[in-house]
Amino acid sequence: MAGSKSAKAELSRPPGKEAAQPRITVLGIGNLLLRDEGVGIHLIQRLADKVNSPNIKLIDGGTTPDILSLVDNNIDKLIIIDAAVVGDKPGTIYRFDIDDLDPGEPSPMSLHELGLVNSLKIMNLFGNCPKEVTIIGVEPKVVDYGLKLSPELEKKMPRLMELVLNEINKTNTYMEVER
Amino acid sequence: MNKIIVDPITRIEGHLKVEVTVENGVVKDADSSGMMFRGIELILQGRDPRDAQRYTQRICGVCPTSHSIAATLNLDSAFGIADKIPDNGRIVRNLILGAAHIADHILHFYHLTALDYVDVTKVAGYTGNDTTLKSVKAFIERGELGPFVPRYEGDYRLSDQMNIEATAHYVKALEMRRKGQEMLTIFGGKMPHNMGVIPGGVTETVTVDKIASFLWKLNELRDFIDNVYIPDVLAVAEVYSDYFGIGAGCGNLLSYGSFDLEGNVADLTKRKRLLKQGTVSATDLKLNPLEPAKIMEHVKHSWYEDSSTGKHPTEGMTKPQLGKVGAYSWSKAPRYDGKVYEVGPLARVVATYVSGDATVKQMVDSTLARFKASPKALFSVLGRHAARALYCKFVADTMPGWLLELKPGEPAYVDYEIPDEASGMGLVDGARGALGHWVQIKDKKIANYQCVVPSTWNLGPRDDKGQPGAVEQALIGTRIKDEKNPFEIVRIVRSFDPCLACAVHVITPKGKEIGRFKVC
Repeated sequence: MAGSKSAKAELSRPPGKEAAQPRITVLGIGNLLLRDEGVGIHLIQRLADKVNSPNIKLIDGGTTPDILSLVDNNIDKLIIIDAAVVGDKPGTIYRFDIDDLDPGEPSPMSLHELGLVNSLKIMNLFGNCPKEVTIIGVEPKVVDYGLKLSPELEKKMPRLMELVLNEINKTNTYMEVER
Repeated sequence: MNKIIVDPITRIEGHLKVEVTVENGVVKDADSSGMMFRGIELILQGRDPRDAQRYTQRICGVCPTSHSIAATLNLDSAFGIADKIPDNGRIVRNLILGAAHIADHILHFYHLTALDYVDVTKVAGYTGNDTTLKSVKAFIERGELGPFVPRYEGDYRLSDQMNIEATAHYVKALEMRRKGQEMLTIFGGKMPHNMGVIPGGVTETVTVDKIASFLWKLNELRDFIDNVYIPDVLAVAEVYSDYFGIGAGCGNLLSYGSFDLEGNVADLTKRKRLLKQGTVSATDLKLNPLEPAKIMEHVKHSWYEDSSTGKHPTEGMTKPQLGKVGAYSWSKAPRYDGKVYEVGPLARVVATYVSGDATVKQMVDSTLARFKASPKALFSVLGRHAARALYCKFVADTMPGWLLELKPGEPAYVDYEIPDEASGMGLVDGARGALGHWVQIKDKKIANYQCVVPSTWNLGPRDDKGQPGAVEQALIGTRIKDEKNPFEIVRIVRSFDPCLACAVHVITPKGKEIGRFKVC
């Protein structure tokens, strides 16, 4: 994970500030085998070259049903990246809060259906919720078997990366992550 | 005649749908449909065989670890090293798989099954001081039940006190689930999609620190299994004991077995495993040896070309044909010796029970004695839940011994060369049952790869002879007390721990224009 660029970012952190660093987690979810559906995982893989700091966790969540088992309790910020079907042009990037998501998930029949909203609600229920949750969604073009993103989404990846780094830096007041 | 359709997710394509026809209060017919085409195997063609371990884990967000083991056993056999796996490698794989299964089964009982039996809304009457229960109560009062909302009304039989206790355990189970996953990462590297399990053994070296850290977490999990999980399953079973007589199913069980106990036997149907491989029928309760050549997949009622039916997985083809007349599922119908078989914890526990394993025999017999039931009662909704819980205990109780067999500093891995041409087979019981991977290698690349997953055995459609699948058979003949609240159907289906949805994750915002911020 640690490249020379991120080592430089490491050095830019003020000494002695480690304990006070805000805890940030970037969680990509989706299926890497279903092309644009896996955009969150693609982003996490690319982010790994840019971010190397003990207070920032990058998690490749795959299609795990209960994200709360992957995210630490009481962190300062959780940034979730996932494909989002809203209906706009493929590659459109959205920013949501939890309250914007469809809460009407029916009670699940299989573990696959536990869902993001329910997981966050459970976390909230027990007072373990991240202080701030931001969801960044990307409108998919192709959800079908394959390992590559569609050209439309591939074109948007630099912008998506920039937006996620902005989200990190908004909270990560002690350091600027290397762009 | 009424139709009841349980189609939990209509907004995302690709889930399990169960359609049941009820006549005079009895299920006359049942169709179980997998609503998503699964062509993941096609991705693997032409790739480096070692990619199979990485990519097949991505088939499923719930059971990646089981796929990693099946893929690795498959590659071990194709690479000709299935009898050369060092003990450290074999045992660490067992520990990784065991950790995954324990975490998985706890999650299944508390976070899916319990809500069919436990009425969480009773926490509204809680007057004590427990912080968690107080916050659940506050949630209920605000109407924000979210994941807790019971699907149906009526048949909740636990006392208020038991409902409240079970809710507290639901919360505790979340912590345990996390603990299990952390335990897995000690040797697996990460969760989900572990990096530890590879052909030849495992990537992680064994150290005293890792053994101690694993044992520490395992002790907590064992404590939870013994003092919370099993007592809760028994408490539910006592109050809902009629469910020992509901959802019997096809009466044939198939287990591939799990947890290799020896590393020098190439043929995995002959290999000593903690959970035994073989088939058992309810009529004679005898263990018959596993013969993988008897496995084949039918597609007459699936959306695949008829020309691809009746194939052994080594010749398996994925030729979709949407809209085929008479078809109703994307799932194929796997059969063993032409018959319908149920897979899962019940199958592997019963296989091990009838093999005469003393520990499992004692656990199962004492549980049956408590309900004055015969082994045939295991073929039921409650039998499946009891088997899952006892399996968890059996594995968790065995794991400390494995940890002590590990030898720090010794190799956990054997080197190999990828052959130009080879074929392989990897069979293991995943959390939900018999999981098989088959590979053909040509020019050091994957020529064909097929997975036959547990939920296709259980939830697959009718076969070429018209025999209904395992869940369909478990539903047919069931008496439904209240058609508006068909508890019996969901309890039967959930007892199989369905895992069909495999793999799509797309978020859906509330409304097109609500709360949406377009940033690009």
